[in-house]
Amino acid sequence: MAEMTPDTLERIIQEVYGSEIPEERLRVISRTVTQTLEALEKASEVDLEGLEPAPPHAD
Amino acid sequence: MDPRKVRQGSIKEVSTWIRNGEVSSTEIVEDLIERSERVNEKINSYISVLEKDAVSAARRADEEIRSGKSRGPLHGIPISVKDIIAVRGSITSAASKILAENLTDYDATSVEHLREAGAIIIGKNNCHEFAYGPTAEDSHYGPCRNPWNPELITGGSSGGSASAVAACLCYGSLGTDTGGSGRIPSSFCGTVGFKPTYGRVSRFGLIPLSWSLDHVSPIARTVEDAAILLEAIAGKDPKDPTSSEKPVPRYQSALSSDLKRMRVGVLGKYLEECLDQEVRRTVETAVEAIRELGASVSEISIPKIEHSAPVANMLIACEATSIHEKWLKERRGDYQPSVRTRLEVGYFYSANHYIKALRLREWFRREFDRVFKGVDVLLSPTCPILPFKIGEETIDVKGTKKDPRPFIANFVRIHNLLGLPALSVPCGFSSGGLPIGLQIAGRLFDEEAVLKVAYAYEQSQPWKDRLPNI
Repeated sequence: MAEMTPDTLERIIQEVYGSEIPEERLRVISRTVTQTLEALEKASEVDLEGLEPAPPHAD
Repeated sequence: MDPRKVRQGSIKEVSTWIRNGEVSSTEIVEDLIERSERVNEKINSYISVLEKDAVSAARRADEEIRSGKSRGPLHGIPISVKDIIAVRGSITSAASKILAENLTDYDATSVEHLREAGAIIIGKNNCHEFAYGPTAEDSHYGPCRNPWNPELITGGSSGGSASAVAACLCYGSLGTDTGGSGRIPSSFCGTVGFKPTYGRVSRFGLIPLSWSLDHVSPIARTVEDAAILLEAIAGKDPKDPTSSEKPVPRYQSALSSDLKRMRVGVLGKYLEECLDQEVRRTVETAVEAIRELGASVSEISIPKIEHSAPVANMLIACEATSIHEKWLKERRGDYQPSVRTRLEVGYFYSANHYIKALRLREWFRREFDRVFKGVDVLLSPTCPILPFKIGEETIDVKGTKKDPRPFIANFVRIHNLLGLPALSVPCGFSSGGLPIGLQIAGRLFDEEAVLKVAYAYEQSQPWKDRLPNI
């Protein structure tokens, strides 16, 4: 996963699951996260220079 | 009056019948409660029917109407509410074991507005747990079932709302729409689902899924009824700082059958790889019908649009995980497994990913601003596929077996990302008799253009008169 070091991954898993690390669930999560990050990378090929985050506020 | 005719009437029609004394609100409510007892066993639309409160409210409405007081077209009309929206005196469970005893002592602002308009809140609708899923299969109370074929999904997350409306268990419903949750089940159940502009309707009283993408979404059997519902619930609310100060137009006045001078863009050349051929043909026929009504039609392409759904998914995942963090630690075993997995995904994105998604939202906003200089509305299929069997892991997509869940929402999610108004209107049926939805989206706060095109199209077609035989 982009920008996700093994140490970070392990820390998050430890925090979320404690000692329990269900392999099947982790496989699904990993696939979803990987696919989403790949799509984010492809979308980010556009020029984001000068674009600031803003919520879809009404007024 | 013939109860079947009354049940199948539109809000506008039934309102007139009540005012003229041809039928009373109490008679209607009692009939729908009795019908719900039978039909709910088949389609699981309601988690709870608010029998006592609804009958009392209907009696009060009848007394007011008899004494000459009229609150408008919703006076005495039974409306249901998705079980993720607070209704005073009811359990608001979000279809979850976690909130199965969550007795609510206040009304969401949208519900408060419905009551002021004289509507009768008749029940709380089943949905995907915490509104986090596009199928409405995963609820603590069992899956929502499609009234056109109870073995099939309703689509979600507001599946119980759309199925209750389609099955004539109520005349309209308040659903929510965070990533297509009002429009997807409307497409699959043959109803009109209208997600207004972000900020048009207060979010106060919703159990949130994603603060920046959640919307309240009226669901009805006709475009006019959706306009009536939206007009009743729209407006500024001090309890929701993101609600808009902009005055609420008279949406019913926007409805006209003349589409001359309307410029319509068609967004259809993406997602080719997962677009069902029957859906494609039906939507293409609908586009031609809109052209014949006088609109000018042009094809629109937006770069990177195929990646817009994952950008929205990331924002939803991060916000939802933050909202659910306490329960994920203390009650994780009480979630539906698929919902728990979706929520856990949010732990694995970084702040940098989230900010990048927010900046991409801005990029898409500029692209859509450019497109909307040349067109008034955008058309696309609502869903790329037809409803499939509950629990089905894969479906055949152009000769390949695929899990359909990840791409059901690919046409709808961009409009949540950008907060644009978008509506799904029935545009035909598959060879197997399943409804298909056409999505119409507009500029921010231009609900009127969306309604105008939807209404003109609906009036030119027979689809709104076709109801499931259940």
